[in-house]
Amino acid sequence: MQPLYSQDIFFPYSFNIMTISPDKKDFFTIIHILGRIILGLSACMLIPFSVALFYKEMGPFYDFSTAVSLSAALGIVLIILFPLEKDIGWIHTFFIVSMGWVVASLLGALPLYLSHHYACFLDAWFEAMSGFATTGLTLVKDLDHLSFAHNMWRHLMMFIGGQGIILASLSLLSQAKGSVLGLYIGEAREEKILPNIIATARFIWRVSMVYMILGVSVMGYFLFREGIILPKAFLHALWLFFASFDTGGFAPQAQNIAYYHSEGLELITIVFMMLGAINFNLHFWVWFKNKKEILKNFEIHTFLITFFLLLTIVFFALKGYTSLFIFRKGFYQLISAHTGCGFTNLGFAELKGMGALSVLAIIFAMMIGGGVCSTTGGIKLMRIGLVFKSFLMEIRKWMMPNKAVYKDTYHHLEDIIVEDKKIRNAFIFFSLFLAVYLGGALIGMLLGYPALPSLFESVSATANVGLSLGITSPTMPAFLKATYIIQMWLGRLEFFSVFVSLGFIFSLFKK
Amino acid sequence: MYLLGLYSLYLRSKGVTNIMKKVVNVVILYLMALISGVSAYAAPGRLGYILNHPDKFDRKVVTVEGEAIGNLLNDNRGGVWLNIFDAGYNIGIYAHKKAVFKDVNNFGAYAKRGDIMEVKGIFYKNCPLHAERDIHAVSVKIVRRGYALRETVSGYEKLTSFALSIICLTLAAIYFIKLEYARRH
Repeated sequence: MQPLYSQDIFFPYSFNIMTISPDKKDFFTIIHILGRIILGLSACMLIPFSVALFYKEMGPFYDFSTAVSLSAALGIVLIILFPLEKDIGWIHTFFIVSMGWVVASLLGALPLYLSHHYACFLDAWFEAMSGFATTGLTLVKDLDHLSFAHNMWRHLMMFIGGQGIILASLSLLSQAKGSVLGLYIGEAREEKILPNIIATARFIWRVSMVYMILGVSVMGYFLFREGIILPKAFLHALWLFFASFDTGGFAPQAQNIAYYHSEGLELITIVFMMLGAINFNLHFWVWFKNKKEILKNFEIHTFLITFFLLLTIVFFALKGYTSLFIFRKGFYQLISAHTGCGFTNLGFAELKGMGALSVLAIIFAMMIGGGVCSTTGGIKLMRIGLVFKSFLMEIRKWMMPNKAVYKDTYHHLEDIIVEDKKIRNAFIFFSLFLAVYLGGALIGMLLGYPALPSLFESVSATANVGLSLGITSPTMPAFLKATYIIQMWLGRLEFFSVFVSLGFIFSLFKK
Repeated sequence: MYLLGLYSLYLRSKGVTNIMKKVVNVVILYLMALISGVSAYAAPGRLGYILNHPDKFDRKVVTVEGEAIGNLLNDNRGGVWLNIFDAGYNIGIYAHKKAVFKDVNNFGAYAKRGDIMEVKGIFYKNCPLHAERDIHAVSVKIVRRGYALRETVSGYEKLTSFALSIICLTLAAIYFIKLEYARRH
């Protein structure tokens, strides 16, 4: 199967020839679909609402009752007032995706804000965006006393976001038909797994459900053995699964994964972090087609090279420590950073205490991220691999006779020729991510934070990782909170949905 | 907080009584808090100080106070863990025997305050046994018993929730009637 790459989709029209500008009917269509997404979101809120009811948590019960009613009412009003006047086309998909994430995070913040565990609505919005974008940076106060219902919502947001808010709705959107491909790609998923995009969306859900049953059973057993009573062990296992497989990194306790003091549990989370960071297409091939693909795959090779290079750096930086320490601290942080999960068994001071070299290695791991069409953020393994391959190709070309024609290939499900178009695409994303990483770091520095922690936090937000050196806290400046919200949003959608939407808005002013 | 306290003392000394002035002053106080980055948290207590100066206390006997959080966790080496929380800082307390924590009955969770305990033990920056930052407890004393918090939901919150539910149901009914009407015509 020939993978479908985003440049084919993102540049269907040549901008120097003509641009399309949306009209009133287009906006009606967009708002109508947003109404449906909001309605779907309110349905999801019924899960934490039920948890509040089950555990007789009265405060959260009213928080979620208010949030569900308000979201559902808003969704219905939008659906009634803005009828679907056009079939969903390319022009709508970018708006739906980019605005869908903003609206979902704003409404998702509502029950969090009502919990009184957030200093202001901006903090709750930060948390909701962090959840949906599977980042894991948190501004919650006194997490150890947060209700089951609110914790369920924090983790459920990661699951919904990891699967893709729009992808979650895709399976239900009967009107979407052909245009669902745009919605799917707009959420930064580059490859179709099955010829039918709805079937692709459902396959991703099926894979996730199978892993969920497996993950919750294994982790639940571990937690039960640790002495946590059964219903609570089940909930913790479910949340840890959401956080690891969807590479989110939230945890129900303030100490994150360190709360459990269990190497066994850390090992299990490593397995699920890695499963979440692997391209869903690769899951499909390994499950149904060719198990050996995992050994030949270009993304897996890139991961192994980058991970072991960075591990060597961490190993040297932690020279003198015990092997158990290097595994539990160095190896775990690095794999958590590389897969974009953000689980940590270290406090801020401990992470800083690992030394600048280790911190730099973790920053590089966060920058790279996992596979395309996975739940991770960051530049992604495929693009990093292609960027480095293009360097090698260039060197080889210089070493060849002038008239020699040189083509290189890489293996991703099949042997693919490295074309200029693919390299250009990889470089565009590489440069954009780098610019946003550095831009966020610069803002952090301008606000008075040191350079290395500013870069660390900026990369963590943009690549949707969630590790922190302590800048992210309820006391950080509101401007920096807003910056990280934008970085998480841009990083999760990989820029283009947002940029194209902005382009369309500017085109309205040109009219 | 210190700045805010000074400012409020200054206002009192000036005898500010006018409501408008009070409102303006509250806004100024808020802005001062924002600009100065004053947090709502308490200053780091003993645990915070130890965690911020790990080299100073490494492998030394320390005494810390904190709220028991979550529940007791069995360690696969046969010991028991209990996490404590103090002024925004957490640490795992390890004991070789469960009996060390026998007096701890209440654990902090939603709507529950855990027992405040005083732990005397050896602080490890990098524990050779567990490869983590922990305290190996020698003795545990309960300073204050934990208690269940009474959940209070204001009448305003209940009314808002109820009113929104009614509005939502009404809108849903209108939507379904509209759908039915469209289907018939």
